[in-house]
Amino acid sequence: METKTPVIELKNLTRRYGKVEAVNGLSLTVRPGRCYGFFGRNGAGKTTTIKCLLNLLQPGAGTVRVFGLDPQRQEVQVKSRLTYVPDTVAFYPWMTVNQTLEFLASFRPHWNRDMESDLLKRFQLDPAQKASHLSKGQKTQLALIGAVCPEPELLVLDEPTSGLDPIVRREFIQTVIGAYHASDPENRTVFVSTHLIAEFEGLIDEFTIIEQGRELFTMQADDARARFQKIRVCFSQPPSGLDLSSALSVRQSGRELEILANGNSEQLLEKLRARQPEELRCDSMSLEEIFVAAGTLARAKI
Amino acid sequence: MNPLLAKEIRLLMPAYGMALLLAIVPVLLWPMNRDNPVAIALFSFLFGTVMLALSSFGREFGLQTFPLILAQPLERTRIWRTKVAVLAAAMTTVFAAWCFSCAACVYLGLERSDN
Repeated sequence: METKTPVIELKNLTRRYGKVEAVNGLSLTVRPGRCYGFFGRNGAGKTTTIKCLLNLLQPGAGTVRVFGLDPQRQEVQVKSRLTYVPDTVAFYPWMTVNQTLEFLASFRPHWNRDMESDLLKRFQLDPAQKASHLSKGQKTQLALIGAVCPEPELLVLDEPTSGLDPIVRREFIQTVIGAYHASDPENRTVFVSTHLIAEFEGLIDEFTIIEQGRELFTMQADDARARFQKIRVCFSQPPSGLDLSSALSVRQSGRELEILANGNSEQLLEKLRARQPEELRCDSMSLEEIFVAAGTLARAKI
Repeated sequence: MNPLLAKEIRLLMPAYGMALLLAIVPVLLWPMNRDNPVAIALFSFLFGTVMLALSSFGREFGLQTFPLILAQPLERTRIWRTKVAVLAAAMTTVFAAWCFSCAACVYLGLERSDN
């Protein structure tokens, strides 16, 4: 069986800012063709990790490989195969939208002009408008167009939708990123760092949650949904003496209970059924709910 | 023109314009005194060139465009070389303009004489 070189491979990545450890021994592997979520709270080390990937920051320790190459030594080879949308988008203020895209296209061997004009129309961006006159959301749209049109093998997005309104956000995620990924799913990889996880729910194949620069866990999205379940149960009387200590969390509101299960939903359901509830429902948790539960999980040490 | 070069020239333009003004105008307004060569004209020229030098990187930091340019598939040495080349050319022309205005001052008899 052919083993493809990972698109991103981090081993024990460490990066400090003075005494603060922004990233501490982070390891992850992103295989080609994945839409990989990199989730974490503000200040968890997501942007620092991405900057290390792009050689915008030098790691303090550990190894970083992108397409099997060292971004520090083979910077041009690495960057010619990826594009990056930073969390803070900035352009040269004297350039128009069109000039900005021309400027970005001048560094790329390939640029999809049809896609460019289609996206400009879709986002209703005026090519003659100066970049300095664009709103934050429009700047993000421009950055996203500039990132997608070269049709790179790897699209690195750092909080890409934070400045966008909900309609454009949905449009962008489903139509642009989804279409980009789906057009060559074997070879196009998306690495997206965000805390707006719900927006990317349907796209993410695999994800890593980090906190304080450390990996909490990495999972396939489908495995995570199968493992983390939310049980809603309603009894005729408020339950007492029910042992749910193996649950990830339990929230009681009168006769109703909401129980989060970490791989043991069957065992919990069995206990609950024995109490003959009026209503019992078990659903997969969304990635966002899993992310929120990750703090609890970290303390419980899965 | 090379887009990187064009960007660099445009980036430096405001500081370049200011440095040129500082190199030319004070020489004509406050001609140098033979007994006191370190006059306002020289100070303003030096101030202009320092501002020009700082502007090359400073504006890029101020506009927060370093990540944009550093994320492109370009050798860093090429980015720095372009910056330094444009800066050197700008400095040279500002210095030439200053020399020329000083010479013009002398030629036009604007040099102040205490005697």
